[in-house]
Amino acid sequence: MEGKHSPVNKLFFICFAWLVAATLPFYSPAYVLLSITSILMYVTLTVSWTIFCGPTGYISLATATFFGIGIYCAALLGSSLPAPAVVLCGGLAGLAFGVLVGLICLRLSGFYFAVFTFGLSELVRHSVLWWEHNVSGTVGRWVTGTSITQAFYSLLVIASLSILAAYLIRRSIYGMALKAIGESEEAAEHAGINVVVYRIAFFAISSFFMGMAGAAMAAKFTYIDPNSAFNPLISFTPVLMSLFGGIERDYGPILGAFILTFISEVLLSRFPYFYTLIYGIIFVVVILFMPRGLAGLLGSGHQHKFMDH
Amino acid sequence: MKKDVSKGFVNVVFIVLGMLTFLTMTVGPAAAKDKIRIGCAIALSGMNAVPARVSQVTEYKLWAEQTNAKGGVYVKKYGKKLAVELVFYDDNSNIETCTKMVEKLIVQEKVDLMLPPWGTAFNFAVAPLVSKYGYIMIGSTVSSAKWKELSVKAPYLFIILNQPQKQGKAVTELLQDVGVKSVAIVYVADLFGLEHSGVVAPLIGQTSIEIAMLKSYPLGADDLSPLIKRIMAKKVDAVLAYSYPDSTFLLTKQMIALNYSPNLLFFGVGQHYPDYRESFGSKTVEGIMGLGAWNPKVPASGARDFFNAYVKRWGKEPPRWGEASSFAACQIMEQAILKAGTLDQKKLRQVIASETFPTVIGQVKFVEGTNPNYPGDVGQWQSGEYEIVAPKIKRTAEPIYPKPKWPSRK
Repeated sequence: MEGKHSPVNKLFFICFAWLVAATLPFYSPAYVLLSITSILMYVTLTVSWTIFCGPTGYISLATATFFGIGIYCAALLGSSLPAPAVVLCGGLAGLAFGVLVGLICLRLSGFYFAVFTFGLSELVRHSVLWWEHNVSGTVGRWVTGTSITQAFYSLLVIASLSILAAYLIRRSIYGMALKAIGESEEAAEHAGINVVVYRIAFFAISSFFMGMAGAAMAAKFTYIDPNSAFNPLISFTPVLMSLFGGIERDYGPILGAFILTFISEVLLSRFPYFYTLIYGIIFVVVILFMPRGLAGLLGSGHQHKFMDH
Repeated sequence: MKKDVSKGFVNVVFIVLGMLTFLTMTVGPAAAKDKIRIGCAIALSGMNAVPARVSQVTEYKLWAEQTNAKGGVYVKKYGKKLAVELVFYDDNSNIETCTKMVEKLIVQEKVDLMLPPWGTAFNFAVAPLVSKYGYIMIGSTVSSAKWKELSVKAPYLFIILNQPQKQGKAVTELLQDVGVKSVAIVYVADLFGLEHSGVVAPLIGQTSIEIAMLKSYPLGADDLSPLIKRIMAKKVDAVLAYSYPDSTFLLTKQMIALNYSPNLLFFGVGQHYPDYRESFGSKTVEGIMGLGAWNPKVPASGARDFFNAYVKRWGKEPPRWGEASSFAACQIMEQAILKAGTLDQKKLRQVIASETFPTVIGQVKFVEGTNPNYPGDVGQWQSGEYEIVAPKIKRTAEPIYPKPKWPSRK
């Protein structure tokens, strides 16, 4: 595929983009930083969602669970541990829970997988609610707030790591194996791929990044309760964003997250009364006319022209 | 075809750069001060959109229109009347979006004043942020015993709505007053239900009234008939349901279906909407009680005018609890600006914290950031009006007890 055409240019572009991003707090207005932080959060969620769900084609609707677990980690540990440790704990908690979920839904694929993961995330939300209510005797918790700059840098690091991981995995033998699993689990099994290990491991890796994103973002919530931390919307957004950007290319999910977060922000502030309507129309248009997402439209004239699948 | 790939990449770069440029564009504040810009990030879409609209957005807009019709608010510092402009952002019923939008209103739009989002959790999330930037905010849809913790984190927040502790006391006294012997308390498993039941149950426990049942039900439950049947089995006089609008409507519907009509039926939020009365009919809701009350009969200057203006502007009656206090919050800001003669938040805060303000919910004097003198703690539908029945000294009508049975269905 791509990669050999202009690797130097690409590398240059990536370094440049990263440098611009890393120095952003020094010259950008506070508000831009705020927007970029939230864009980075969605980039992390979308890219890490794509790590597992992209090649296998299994639609996971449990993103909110791992994200919420990260948030709760931050709420519980935020006042006693330094910020990087909190973020790492959030990631590890996500990872551990990812392994557990991976084990539970081992035999599920396709439609069943999607429904199951969604049901699971609702179960977790209600369980946390029950726990908070009956054991902790409260429902909401305060999260120690951080500065905009600190949240920005943690998200920048996490997003970069998840992008790097996605890039490396896709190009490795593991990425191939995941794709094989997506095409036919039995065939992959017969080809000598340890389907069980692969499914669990990569599902957990993607959960790891989601957990970290949650822990890093918690400070921006200020006050959390199970309903806001495990917001079901968070489960659907990465799916929409990666479809929008196109999952066939590395930069598709990034682009999708970037542009959709940006669009929704503009809509929410400039056209607050038409947010849902316009957002919906954009979606219908994308699904109907851009089946490969933005990336398909932008970068692959040789692959398809308009409706030619 | 190599060209296509790099072209795509260049396109991506342009898109990203374009978006960054758009993001950095700010609406610069006008050179000459000619209006007061008031920011509000609230749910215009998502699950909170309906309560947010009826309880805050409509009241704020009405106030802004009335104020501008008078020529605006006189600000001494500028020596003239300034028109008010409301800047609404949608928070999509999402807390994280809400905090982001609030920060955007402050940092980018540089608004002069802030109005709160809808709901306790959202107010809790936003209050420390708003206080950090030194903006006053008067919350009218916040109900939580945790406000004391909050007042430390958010010294610029004022809560105008009545709070659980006082309402729990009013409910208990009312139950004793009408002669209730036994009660079942159910509540939605959420901060709201938890706190209110947590306050009222111990208070009732100190009286001779028997608590036959104390049970929660999940948020978003779509069948509560098993719960109702369990209540029925207890044969209690009174049912207190600390419910949200969705479950208030559902419980009412299912109680009618099961033909269960306790002598006293009390809900949390939603029963005070005129829509509630209209969807079940005046006769059916007769005698139903609920948490918090306001009606145009309360002894407050302008209460009736507000009611009539609301009906004229929106084509329906205002709900009968915190809605009037959303309007009152705007009145307080207006009066504070007049008194302080400036838009400086520190001075406004001092004025709001120390002075007494006449509003459509009566005289408001904040004590430790909350309003201890709300016009009604318990309301009851009587012949189409939501009368205040507790506390006793604020009654606009005597309570009806027992509640009439459901009208027979044809």
